Amino acid sequence: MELDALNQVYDEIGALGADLVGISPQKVEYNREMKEKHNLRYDLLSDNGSEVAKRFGLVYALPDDLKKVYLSFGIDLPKYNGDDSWTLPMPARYVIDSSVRIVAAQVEADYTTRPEPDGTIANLRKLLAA
Amino acid sequence: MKLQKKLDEHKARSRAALAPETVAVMRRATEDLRASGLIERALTVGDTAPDFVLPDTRGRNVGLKKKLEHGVVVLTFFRGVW
Repeated sequence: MELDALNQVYDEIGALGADLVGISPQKVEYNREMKEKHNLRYDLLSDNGSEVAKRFGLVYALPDDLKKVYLSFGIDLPKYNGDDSWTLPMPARYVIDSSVRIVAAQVEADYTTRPEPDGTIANLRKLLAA
Repeated sequence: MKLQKKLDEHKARSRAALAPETVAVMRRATEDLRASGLIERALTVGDTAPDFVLPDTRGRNVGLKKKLEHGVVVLTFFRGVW
């Protein structure tokens, strides 16, 4: 849903002089499946072992009882991510300027909460006006 | 419709179909994560982003610094297809 919502504002992001990329710990084949299924116009990058997400400080390990719940849903993270760490990144959105500085950051503990694309567009407008 | 409204409606529908014990496990995990202080330690405004090179859906390497030569970059971290 979040990736679809971002797809809808992709032209607007481009018009504001920015590009968008999604990053997930899942294997390239699952990113490809998602990109095709949702006709995403932006890149999805595969962050094996969440190594990049770790450097942003976003990675947490799932507790054992939650692992069991996920497995009961058929969510076999080792299969999707290609490692058996049972770790995931917190949902997060960053805007990074040409000097590699983070100029907007939204991080959520609750995976059912995602930053609104409108807010990201507003951040980009502000940056352009600065 | 706003993204969050859609997500909230989806969550209400999917959680209604689950056993209360299952929902409790999911809720507790989120609360523990929120209380862990991880969010407060994550990179934020003013920090320098770490450079990276990662494969896209065609297996081509994409680098942050390379992308930044063409303008601002929005990164969105997500969990997966499931």
